[in-house]
Amino acid sequence: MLPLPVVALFARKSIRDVRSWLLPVGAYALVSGLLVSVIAGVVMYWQLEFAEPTMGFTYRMLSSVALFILALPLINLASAAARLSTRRKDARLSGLRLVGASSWTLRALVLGEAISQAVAGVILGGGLYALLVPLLGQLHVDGRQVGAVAMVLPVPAILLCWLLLVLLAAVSSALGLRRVAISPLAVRTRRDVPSMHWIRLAIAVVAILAVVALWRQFINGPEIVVAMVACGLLFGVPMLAMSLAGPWIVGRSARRMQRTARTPERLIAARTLLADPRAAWRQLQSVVLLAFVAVTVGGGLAVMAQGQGQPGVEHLVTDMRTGAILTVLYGFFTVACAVLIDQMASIADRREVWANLHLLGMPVSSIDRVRRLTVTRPMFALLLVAVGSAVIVQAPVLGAGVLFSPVSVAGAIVVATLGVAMVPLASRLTSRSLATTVRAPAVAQDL
Amino acid sequence: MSYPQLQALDLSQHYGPTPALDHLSITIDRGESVAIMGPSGSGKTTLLHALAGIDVAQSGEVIFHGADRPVSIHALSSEQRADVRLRHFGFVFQQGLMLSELTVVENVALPLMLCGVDRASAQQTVSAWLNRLGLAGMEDRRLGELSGGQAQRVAVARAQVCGPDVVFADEPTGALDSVTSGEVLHALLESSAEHGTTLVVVTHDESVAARCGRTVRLRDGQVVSDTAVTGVMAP
Ligand SMILES: Nc1ncnc2c1ncn2[C@@H]1O[C@H](COP(=O)(O)OP(=O)(O)OP(=O)(O)O)[C@@H](O)[C@H]1O
Ligand SMILES: [Mg+2]
Repeated sequence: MLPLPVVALFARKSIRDVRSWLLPVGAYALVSGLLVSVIAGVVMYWQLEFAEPTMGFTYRMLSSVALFILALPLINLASAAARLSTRRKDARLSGLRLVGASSWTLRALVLGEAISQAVAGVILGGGLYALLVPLLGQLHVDGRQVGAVAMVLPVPAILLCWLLLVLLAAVSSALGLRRVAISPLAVRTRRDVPSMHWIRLAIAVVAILAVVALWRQFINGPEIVVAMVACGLLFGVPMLAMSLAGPWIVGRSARRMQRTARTPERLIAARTLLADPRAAWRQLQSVVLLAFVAVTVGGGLAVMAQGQGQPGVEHLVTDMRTGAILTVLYGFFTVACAVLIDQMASIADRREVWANLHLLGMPVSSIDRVRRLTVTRPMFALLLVAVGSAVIVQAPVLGAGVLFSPVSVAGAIVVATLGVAMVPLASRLTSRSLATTVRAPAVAQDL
Repeated sequence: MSYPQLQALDLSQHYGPTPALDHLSITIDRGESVAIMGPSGSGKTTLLHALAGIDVAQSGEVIFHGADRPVSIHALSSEQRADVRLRHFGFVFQQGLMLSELTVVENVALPLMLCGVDRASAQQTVSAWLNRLGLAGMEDRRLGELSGGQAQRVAVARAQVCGPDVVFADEPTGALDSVTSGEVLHALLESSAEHGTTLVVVTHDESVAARCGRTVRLRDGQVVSDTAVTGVMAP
């Protein structure tokens, strides 16, 4: 059994330090709110009755495609949240270790804390979902307002989503604990832990099975196959290519930046990126996907705008446009949240680096610029390649789109720009936290 | 006319009940080399941070006299103090304050670039400094590829590269063996003497203190002795 005094000590410390809870709980609340509302939206499309019965298939398939597109940003956000609750446990655990807690006790406590944070956050996220329901109920599909009731997911489905998120938190906390070496005197973070690819694979398989199970709850049809093939061809293959090229592109642009840097900010940002181009790619891959989607779908919709007004499909183009805009903006918002969380975490993790730079006399505004450059610079490099290749691949469609409906193409560009702008904005929102962290006195920060 | 370089007046700082600085006053002249000694917890680091404008003591005042008019450190905002540190002070701490991602040249060039010197001429100045400190050929190494003594000599180069008025060192040789620490100290004292830089060194090592012109001993946040060593020659 867990020794009670140690548990009490740990709980007291954990609760006293409210700030250390704010971020992970808030992160899980965002993930849960966004995930449940996305699934509710998709299920709404699946269950709608249409004036023209054959339209149901089209709508179900399109909404499944949207779900696939949103999966990557949502996974990014969830893993950003999970990373938060396993960060920097060493210092706190060391204290308990000296009190005499066994290493098993310590592990159990950290796991317990991560799970409680996830449970608290996920339930709070339920509140966020409740706020979104009436808003999403304003949507018009097939010429009618869908209404808030259509956006309410059955309770078991909500619980399933929550359970998945809590499981994810538990698994990634357990994995994070493998990095913590507990010796009789101290607790420190190991660097040489082999990464467990099979666990990631297992999580992916479980997630896919869960989605399919959810699917079976609501529809029985070939839509899933069609949607999967469509997604695979349209987005999967380009994304696979990008994920091979992504870190390389980040590295190339950082190398260039390092060579040509005139200011210390750009030099430090470039060196930081060069030290770990994969990290930047992980954070930004969804931005690339969404930009790619915006260009592709934007062109397609512009062409389809031609066919508008034919009997039976008069609403389809409008609905597709609404759906596409919603998907892309929702996706970008999700990524922006993930970037925000990652930035907050990295401010705390790299506190010493920033504080040392400030000690040498670097103004906080310059330090902030370094931090923001490590997001915006690789983002623009990646977008250039992603949007460039999308434009080349989709040249015929886009060309036709510009001819047929320049307004639609312009609209797509506006939406994509708005979405992309959310990312630097998110990183800017964390500037105040940097200033407080850097100016705080040097000692007495951990624990 | 000669103003003192740094003046601390009646500094007090409390963390909890015991004072880290207890109504402490000290005057440091231009070009002096001052060793600050004392038992652990006697307030040496706290004093150094207050003198350098890294932190502001809870009461009292620090006046810094650069080339032009005197500045009251306590009257400055946090960003203004950062600017004073950048333009007038250099730092050598026990753990280097280096960025591990940057190369040696880039690390040392950083303060120059922050002062607005362009990258190419900053790197030239840096190369000259590295040569002088026996670090030629290490320009493109990372921190992890240097020995402890080399890393501290890089830190000395970085502290001196902007031509500061004062260099602050907090146990610069604390983590080194005696031979290496002699080399680092030599680099620090020689470069300061050559440029007339004021030097404030916190140290536990009597042999370090013996090579400074003046030794100030602290206990419980107060100065208990302040002795000038006459006849100390620049090494
Ligand atoms: N940020 C802080 N929070 C709480 N107490 C502090 C802080 N900084 C210093 N102290 C306390 O102030 C006193 C003086 O500390 P200081 O670091 O100046 O000592 P020191 O002489 O440099 O010691 P050492 O030789 O061990 O480095 C000590 O009792 C220390 O515990
Ligand atoms: Mg000290």
